Amino acid sequence: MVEARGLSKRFGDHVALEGLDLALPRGEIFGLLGPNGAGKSTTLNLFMGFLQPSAGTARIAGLDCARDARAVMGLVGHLPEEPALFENLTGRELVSFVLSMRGDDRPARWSEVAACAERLSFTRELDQLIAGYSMGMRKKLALVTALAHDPAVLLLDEPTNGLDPVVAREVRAMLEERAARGVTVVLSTHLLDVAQRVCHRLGVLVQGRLRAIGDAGEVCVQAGGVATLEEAFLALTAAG
Amino acid sequence: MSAPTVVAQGRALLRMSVQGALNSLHRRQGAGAMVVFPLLLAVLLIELARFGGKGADGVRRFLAAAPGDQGTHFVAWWLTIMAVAVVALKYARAIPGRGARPLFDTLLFRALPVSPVTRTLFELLLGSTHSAGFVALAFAPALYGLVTQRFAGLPAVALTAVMALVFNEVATLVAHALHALLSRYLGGRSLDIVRVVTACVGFLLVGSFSTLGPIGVGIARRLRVGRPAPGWSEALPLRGLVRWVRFDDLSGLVAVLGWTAALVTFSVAALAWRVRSPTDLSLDGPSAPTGAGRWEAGLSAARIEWRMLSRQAPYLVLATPAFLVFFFAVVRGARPATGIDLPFVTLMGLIGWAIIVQGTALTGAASRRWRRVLWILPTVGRDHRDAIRALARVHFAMTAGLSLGAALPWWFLQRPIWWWFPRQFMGMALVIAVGQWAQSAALFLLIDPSPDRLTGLSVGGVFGVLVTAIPTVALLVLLSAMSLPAWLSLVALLALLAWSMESAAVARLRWIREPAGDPEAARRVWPALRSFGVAGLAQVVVAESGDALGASSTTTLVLSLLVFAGVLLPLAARGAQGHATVPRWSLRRGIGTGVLVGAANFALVLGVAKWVGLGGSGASPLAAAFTHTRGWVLGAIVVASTTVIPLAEELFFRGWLLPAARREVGDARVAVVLSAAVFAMVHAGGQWAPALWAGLLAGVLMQRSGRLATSLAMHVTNNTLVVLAVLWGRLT
Repeated sequence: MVEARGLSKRFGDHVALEGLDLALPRGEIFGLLGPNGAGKSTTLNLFMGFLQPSAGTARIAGLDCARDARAVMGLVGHLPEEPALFENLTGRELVSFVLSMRGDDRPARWSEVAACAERLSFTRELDQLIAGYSMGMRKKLALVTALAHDPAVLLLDEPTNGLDPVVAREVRAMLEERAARGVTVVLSTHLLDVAQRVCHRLGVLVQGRLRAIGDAGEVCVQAGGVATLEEAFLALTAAG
Repeated sequence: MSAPTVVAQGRALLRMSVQGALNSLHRRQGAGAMVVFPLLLAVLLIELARFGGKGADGVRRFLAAAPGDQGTHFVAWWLTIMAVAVVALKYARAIPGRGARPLFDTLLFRALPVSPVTRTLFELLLGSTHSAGFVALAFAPALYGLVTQRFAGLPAVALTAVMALVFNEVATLVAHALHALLSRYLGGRSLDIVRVVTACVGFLLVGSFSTLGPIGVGIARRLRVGRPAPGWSEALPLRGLVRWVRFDDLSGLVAVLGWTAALVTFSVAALAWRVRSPTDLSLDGPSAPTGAGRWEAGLSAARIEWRMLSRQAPYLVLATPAFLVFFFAVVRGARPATGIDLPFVTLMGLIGWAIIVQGTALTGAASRRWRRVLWILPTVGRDHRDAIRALARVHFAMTAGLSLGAALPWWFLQRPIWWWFPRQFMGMALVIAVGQWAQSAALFLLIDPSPDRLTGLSVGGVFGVLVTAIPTVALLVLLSAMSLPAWLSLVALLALLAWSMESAAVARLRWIREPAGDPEAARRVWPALRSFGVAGLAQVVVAESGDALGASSTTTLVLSLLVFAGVLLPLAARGAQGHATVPRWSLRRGIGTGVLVGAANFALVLGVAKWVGLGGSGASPLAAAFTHTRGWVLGAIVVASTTVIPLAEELFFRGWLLPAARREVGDARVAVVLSAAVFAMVHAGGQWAPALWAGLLAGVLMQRSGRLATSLAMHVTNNTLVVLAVLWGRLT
């Protein structure tokens, strides 16, 4: 469903991503781990078609992410790390705008939006002006807009950052349910326990290269046979 | 899922932007704005009807008439443009950031399945809306003059709009292209410089066009191209320039040089000062670091503040001489040969407007940041007092300079031309500048970086009121000059007042979002009296401005009283909130008793006055005004003295001052006497004795009933009866 072959991105002399190979089937939750500047967001932006790859290809559902960006965006729900929202709208108006722009403003979508907001404890705030939102509320709204059109693929940058533990757990549960329905989820995160708990497989990016890939156990083995994911992360980062 | 069509996406975009615009008006600026904008529109329509007549023919006549011939007509025309511009800007600003471009740059938008063609189309469409507002404000008069050389009426207006839009889009595209070109050759390292250069080029392009427009008119006239439209071409803003093109005299040349010098100096100053600190181009204000200690938080905010202020001040300092050269050149050039001073007057208006825009942009930006500095006041220790005071001084000096800048031309204008239009327009500039000054003075005097929440609260309220009430008053002066029907002026007055009060309340709400600091601090007498002083200050400012503008003493008195009540009301409402009392009487009993006591008191005071031989309340200036006025002023007195003023006074005297004094002194009787004494002082001038008596009564009622409604009912009843008596006296 989500596929990368030799995917590379350079900014001038700086190598942001180098030769990434990845193949994620339907229903997989894949976690991208790595220190700051490792290339996690670059990878997501390449899949979204925001960036043109310097080499290699990124594909979603067989579509080239750079060339067929518009079609890809129709399939994907995207959560940027720091969502910039339109301050003068209410949450509901923004969701309505996003759904209309996607050409799918059916009542079925709205019942899903309502359910989603309910689970995120966000129903009341949905009718307030975004300008007054806190960081956590912005995150929740961005999540709702990313999930509203029932996308086949989710690309999420730090989905649980800034959320309280109860809501964060609910988000994890929602991701697992969607994965069970066949949605492929790619999430980038710093939080190792989140990654370990929710992701089927993990990839550790260090300085633009994929150092390890597999479930938590496999990553530990690839890191030199350490006992925990944290030790693996530290070992891989130090080696890089 | 069906693929979204261009039409459907366009509809969604338009709906979103309109929704945003309405939200911006309604939810962020308060419901008052929803009243004021239609009201302004109504005013314009009435002017239109007065000069053109009803229906489409009227509009045509209005447009075809030579605006230069009629001062009032010109004001209406100018106001129309301003109103359209403001609405357009509002609409465009509803989209985040400035204009439409940032909307299309957000990740949220980029993640939507939109084709490049759709994107470009709507970017242009929504961007143009922003441009429309901007160009209407900046170039419309000059362009209109240019266009009327060949066309008249509606075609001229339409063509003006199209030309202005096209120009603005082209200028923007050129600026963008230049940016792209320079970025390509200079690379990422020098992007900051590129941004500055691009901004300066754009600024020069925009600025020079408003100069080129009139020059074009001059060339057209010289070449005898087209049919000169009489009237308006005479009223061109930069007639000195026009005459220079016709080689009548050299003063126009000096004017052009002055204007160019102003632009270049501005740009160079901007460039020099921005490049000096290229990494800090963002004009966003500081935010208090979370988790930092009080000292660190305050100091870092102060440092950022200082850096920003010092970076902005040179623009003004460097540009001022250039503006002065321009100003005097045009004054010298335009006056001798012109029998009618309309072009000159228009020019003065434009300069005044430029000063206002410049002044409010600078001080507005400064005060926004100030507010943020003040936000952290409760977290700032007493040690930090000096830093805060130093910042206050900078702000104070800047706004004082601006006031002077606005006052000087006004003063010069009084002598040679004493025509109502420049008086009102430059008066407006002066009033706004004075408002800004008063705002910073209030800041300077009131700042006390102690954990006293109330200081912060008062400052917040004063901000809101002064920033909104003063321009409101200025607008009123303008409205009153337009000889509108009395009822419309009254409605306008009340709506504007409501708007400013609501804004003040919103400003206050922003301040009280934080959890309360020391609750005891809110319950002392001194902060209450200080807030009262602030309201008094606002009243004095308005009264003095009214006198200076030559408004009638009655009008000035009424306006100053309304502003006083408007300032006091939100402050007192908040103050009274800190003194929730336990009601001892039911609401019905409270109001009933209040009404009865009010009526009895009225009869008693009337009887005593007759017995003593005084003419009732005739000795007070307000009552005198009452007796001799008519029209909207009378209406305003009636409404204000029976509603707004009693409410503000009760909230303050019985709701705040009395319980605060009781807490501090510990004796309810002393508190009642104290609050009544201050109440009497305010009503000095023939009314102090009945006011002292009424204050004592109201205080006792409040103490007994535990309800503000009781004393309020008494106050309203008493005032209403006085008003009715005076009206009855006038009738008989």
